[in-house]
Amino acid sequence: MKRGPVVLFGGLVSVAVLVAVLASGFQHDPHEIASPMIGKAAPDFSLVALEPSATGGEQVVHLAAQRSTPVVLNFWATWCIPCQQEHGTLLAVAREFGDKARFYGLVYQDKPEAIDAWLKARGRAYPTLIDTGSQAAIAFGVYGVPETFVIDKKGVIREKFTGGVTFQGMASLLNALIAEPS
Amino acid sequence: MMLLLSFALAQPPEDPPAAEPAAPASEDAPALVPTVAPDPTPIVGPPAGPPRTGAELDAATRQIASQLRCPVCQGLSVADSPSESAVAIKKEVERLASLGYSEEQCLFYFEASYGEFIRLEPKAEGLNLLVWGGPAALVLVGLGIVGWMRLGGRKTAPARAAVDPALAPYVEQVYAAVGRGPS
Repeated sequence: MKRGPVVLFGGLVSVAVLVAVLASGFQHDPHEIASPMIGKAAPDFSLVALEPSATGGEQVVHLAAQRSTPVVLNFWATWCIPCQQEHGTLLAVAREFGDKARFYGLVYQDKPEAIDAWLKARGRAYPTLIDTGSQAAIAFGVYGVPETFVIDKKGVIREKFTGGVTFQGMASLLNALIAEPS
Repeated sequence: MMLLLSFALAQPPEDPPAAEPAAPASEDAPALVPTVAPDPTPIVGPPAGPPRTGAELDAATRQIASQLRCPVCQGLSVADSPSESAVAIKKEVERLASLGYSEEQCLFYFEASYGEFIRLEPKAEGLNLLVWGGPAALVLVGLGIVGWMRLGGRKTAPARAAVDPALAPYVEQVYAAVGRGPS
């Protein structure tokens, strides 16, 4: 057998394999890692809110007690620029769906005084939970902020948004979850 | 490609704020500490061993943290990274280890939430075998190709042209001069 065609064939096969690998890789956004949490029960936590309760006392939020309505958990921080950009969208979604779903902001690696000033400047529409020690973030597998988890009425994580959310994306998902039986 | 993740999301500033209890905004303000930490039992079951303390706990924490990837770094383990995220994960590792969870239970707990990416070394199973066996396979294939080409080269070397009898003595002189005869 002559070497020339064999070497050429081997080279073509190698290049084809390389192109296939690259083509497969370029179809995925390298910024997103599929969360293994989708479809699993949301890990429970109890966190204290920055805002006092209606009676003026401490407001403790137990995630497991939030069943029967969809829950939106938004991990954010004041030093996060995309969080500033999506905050207005989240406020609009919360005002639209606030009576049919529960919204919580979980602050990630930040100072309470900075959080309070940030929210006073940009508005607030739902409780802000302080994730001391990032334990909730670790339980949810948060890589960075913003990340938003949407939990259905049965306490199962149905979606994770990496980066800023859109009104349309959140609205269509929440409408679908709200329509599901409890 | 996965390493590019660190550019996808906002990460804490280089000098992140220290984890400290919140300063109360008023007398009614909350203490701002979690009342219940996430329970790993539904994910990994009850602790496999007795609680750890002291040097045993430190060694187990270090051992487990060295196998976890810092989620906001590039190629650094949780044990080696000073980032706030890595420090938080290390503290969680220490908490789990102190409760008696085994090394594999701890690794599985983080893998359940972050995915296999959190393991600094992928498990040698499934497609991951390509990572482990691929380089060795490529070396073997390369050696095979080199060997085949050398062997094939000898077999397919062009035959020498028939020597003109009139020139044969001169050809022999040339072979003698270069130290080799006709093949």
